[in-house]
Amino acid sequence: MRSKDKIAYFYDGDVGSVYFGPNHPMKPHRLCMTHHLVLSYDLHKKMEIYRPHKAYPSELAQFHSEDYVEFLHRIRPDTQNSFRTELARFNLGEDCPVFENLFEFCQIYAGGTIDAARRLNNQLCDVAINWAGGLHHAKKCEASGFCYINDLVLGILELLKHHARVLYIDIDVHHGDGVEEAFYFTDRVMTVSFHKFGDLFFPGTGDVKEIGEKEGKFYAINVPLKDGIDDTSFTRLFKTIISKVIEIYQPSSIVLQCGADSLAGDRLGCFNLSIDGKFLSLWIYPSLCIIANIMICIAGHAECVKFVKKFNLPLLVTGGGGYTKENVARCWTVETGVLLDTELPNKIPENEYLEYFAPDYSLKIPSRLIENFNSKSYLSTIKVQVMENLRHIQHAPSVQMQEVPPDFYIPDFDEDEQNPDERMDRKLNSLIERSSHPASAFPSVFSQLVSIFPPFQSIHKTSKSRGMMSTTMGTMTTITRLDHEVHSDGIQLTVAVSSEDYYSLP
Amino acid sequence: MAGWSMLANGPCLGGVDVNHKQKMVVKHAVNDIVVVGNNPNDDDVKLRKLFDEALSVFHDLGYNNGKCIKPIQVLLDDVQSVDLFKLFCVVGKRGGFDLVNGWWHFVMGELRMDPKYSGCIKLVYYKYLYNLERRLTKSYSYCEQGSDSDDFSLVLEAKFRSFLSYQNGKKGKKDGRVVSLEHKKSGKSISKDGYQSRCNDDDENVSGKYNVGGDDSLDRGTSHAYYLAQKESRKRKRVSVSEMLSWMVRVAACPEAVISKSNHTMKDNDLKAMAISVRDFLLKRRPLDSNDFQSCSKNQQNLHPSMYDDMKVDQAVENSRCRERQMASGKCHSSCSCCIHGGSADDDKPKTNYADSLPITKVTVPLKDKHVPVRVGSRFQAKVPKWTGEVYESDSKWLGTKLWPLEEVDSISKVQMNTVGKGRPDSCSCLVPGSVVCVRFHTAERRMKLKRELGPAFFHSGFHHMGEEVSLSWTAEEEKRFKDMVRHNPPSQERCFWDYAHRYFPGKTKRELVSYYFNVFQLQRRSYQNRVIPKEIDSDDDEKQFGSFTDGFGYHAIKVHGTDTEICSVNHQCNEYP
Repeated sequence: MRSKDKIAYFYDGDVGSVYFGPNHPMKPHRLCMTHHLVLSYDLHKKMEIYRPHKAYPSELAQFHSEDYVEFLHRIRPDTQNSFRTELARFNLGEDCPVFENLFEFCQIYAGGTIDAARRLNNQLCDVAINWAGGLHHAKKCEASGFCYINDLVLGILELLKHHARVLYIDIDVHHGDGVEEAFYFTDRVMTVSFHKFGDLFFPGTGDVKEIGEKEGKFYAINVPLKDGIDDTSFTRLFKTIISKVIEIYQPSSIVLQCGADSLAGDRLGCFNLSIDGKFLSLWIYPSLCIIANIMICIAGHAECVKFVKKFNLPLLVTGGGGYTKENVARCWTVETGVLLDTELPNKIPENEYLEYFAPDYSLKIPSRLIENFNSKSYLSTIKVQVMENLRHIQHAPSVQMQEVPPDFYIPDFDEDEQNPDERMDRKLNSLIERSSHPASAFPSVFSQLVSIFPPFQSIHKTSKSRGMMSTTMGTMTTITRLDHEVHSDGIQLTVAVSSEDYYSLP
Repeated sequence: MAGWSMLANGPCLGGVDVNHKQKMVVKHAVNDIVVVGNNPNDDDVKLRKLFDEALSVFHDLGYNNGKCIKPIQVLLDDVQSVDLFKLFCVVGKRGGFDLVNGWWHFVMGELRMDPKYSGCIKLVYYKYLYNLERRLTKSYSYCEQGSDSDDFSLVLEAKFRSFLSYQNGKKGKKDGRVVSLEHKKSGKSISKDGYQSRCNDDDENVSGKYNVGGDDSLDRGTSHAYYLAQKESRKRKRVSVSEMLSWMVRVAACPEAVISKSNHTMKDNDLKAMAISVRDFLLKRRPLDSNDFQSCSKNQQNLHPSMYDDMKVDQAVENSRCRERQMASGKCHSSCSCCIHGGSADDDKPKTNYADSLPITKVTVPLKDKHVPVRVGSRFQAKVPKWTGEVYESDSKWLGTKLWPLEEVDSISKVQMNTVGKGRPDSCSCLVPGSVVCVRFHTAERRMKLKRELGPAFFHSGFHHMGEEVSLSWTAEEEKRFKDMVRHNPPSQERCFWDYAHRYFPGKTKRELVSYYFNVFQLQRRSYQNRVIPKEIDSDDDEKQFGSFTDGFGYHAIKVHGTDTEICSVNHQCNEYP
């Protein structure tokens, strides 16, 4: 395993005092609660905390259209009545009200994600967390679904300055439509979104058939789910798809959106509210009129984070949806713990907001019993379809794929339980097995080898370049043979390449 | 509900954004009351004259009793003259100089001028117009702000007039008053007109009439829908919106009882038709609303166990009923016939074309099984540069400000690493563990510890603005007023205390109020609820009132904070009762 990861955590105290308006489900105060809970568990001792800069309008305009940013900048609650047409054009008003300090709020959360990406780019940290970010619905020229500025797109654009390929994973209950739309035409970003789909659920996009267009064809993956999916089937599906995606796409960094509205018992998921007069307020915010009965518990949610972290790629983690404040704080605290490899005890330590966590004052929330509408056959159909789409990538690897071989390895699901030697052996065997398939690309195998045998790091560089050279010269680089012998001073690896070049490692 | 019934009778019509043309239509419609600028050009000229007058008065440039006013001439490069009026309007529309600053190229775009002059223009504006702008906003005593003030030129005119009348010392100058009167009247009459047109059969006129609405979109939407509902059921007895809503709540609570009732009364049918068309309208405008119904009924009933047997979940019994409703609503809409259970269960592709049925709708509605396509084009996709293998050095300047760890306390924090991830201790030595006082005491303890550890980072993260301690900067009187404010504006009366907050607390900023609300008010209420009615808590249900706000958790209790009195009292008591 690699040495301990360096974690950068972004937080600005001002972000919690923003108020969207009465009855609006989005409450930035949840960020205060999360931060408090994180600190009450003393998690700050294992990470670095940064206050992000406020993103400049020009930074926001890297993705958003200038007129939209300019409008956000100047609109105020007391002046909004004079700008009806603009408000309508930019979709501000209903879901996305104009409130005081709106622009500053956007600047802070977008600044956090941008800073996080830059720290990753400069290799100043391995994992960066910005719970304030993750507003994935915002479009280039308009606001949508409580999101104004799409910080994820801005963060990914920042990562693309240093990384050839970025993988975006979205486990919010809503489809990550803003990010998908932004990168619909490119193969440099692969978007994978797990979400509820159907029943006119917001935002209405995210069918499994949406796969991207032009160069971006097959680089957008959608996993539409129905109400009531449980932990086990969700995590199983997640692991299968994500490990396949990473194996094939070989991203050099990952952005993970951890919207907490996919949790059981989220406010948006509780329609019982409507019966005693809450009807009206529900109608004001259209996105509210939804049942999000995807029943993932924190354990399942955090399991996904854990799984993604195991790939040891530069990882940018953001928040997202989540409308039951306490559960959001619980979830993101657990996930901060997961990213810090710290198991958190169930009893919540004293903190300012302890009263919110009544009656159990505990980290875990009881799961409710609810019908799972995702039949086995449905899930497997989805899986098959996604895998089928992924196969297109495998069979038509773009030249780009070989240019920068990333450092990564495929973790096993339960590697922690095994002893290191055994693990290495098993991995090697699986690698050798795989290398007999002509499809696997040379550099990827190499980099995997290197991650298995850390002492070979120095050799890695030269052989990688040679491997690359032969690729660019058009030589076939499929590995035909890969042997290893254990010597007293290490392991000898012999890799046979079809061009009959032999690379020998000590 | 009060708001709703008001809505049914009140003047708040309006629905969809209107373009200028439609507005003109409305103005003509009320011509018999007041004649307001029929021709936009007339308006423009009039306004321009006023502007020149105001400007010259302002700059004290030979204003000879209004006889000859020379517009100030500003030349750029000795050639291009600047239209100060236009400039003033453009900047004013964008919210004034302060807001435009930094975005001058947009102004230049609107003025159709070369962006290279933006510096000059800014200077010109600053020199000639900035003070005028500020003065106008200050002396502008136009109280019709808010809902009706969307017509910029009208407001501007009023501004000029009130300024001029002030300058001339002629109190209550006729013009000044006329404008505001005009404005008020036109607003009122439009709505009146619109209201009457509800009973009209004139379809063509309808679209033009919904532009006054200064109320929020819900009102606009629903009242429009209400209008449609009225139209559809105009042969039937009238039903009020509030009746319809309570009917809907009843249906939501117990759908079977209402729907399967064999003796459908006329009233029921009316209510239903109205509910459906309201919903229909909302659905058309915003894709999601139909879910209330589906979801609602889904939630309220025990689902059939066979539902998760296969993929045909959607067609299971309960759902199909939902769809039936949807279908029925579609039918109802297009044919205006009564809405009985129309669709059958095997019909799973509703073919109603919602987009056609209403010309005003902006949003095409995704129906079930019909997915929203991803929009493509330069207005939607991000510009992603090709990967060249080169790494652009990004600005390493903006990486965030480090708050933690502090450089000097590095060694200390290492020593304390073993405390990472500790939970709450199982027991404490407080007299009544779990009581408000106990929790408060331990919280304060934790807080002190955190403060000691974090040092300056404590303040940088804004911790001193969090938790119940926020209340220390509030006086007892203010706290009481806050509670009163919430109590006197209960949501059950369709009131929201935030609307009145500035009246109760003129001296406090919104930020302070929000901070107090979340950090103190809600927390205290929650700690009360936790102990008194633990089963009914929903802390996200902001507006819901539970029980009374007893004084037990009021100001005096917080006083315990951060002091040692608690420890003393605990020990003391232990000694007293051995």
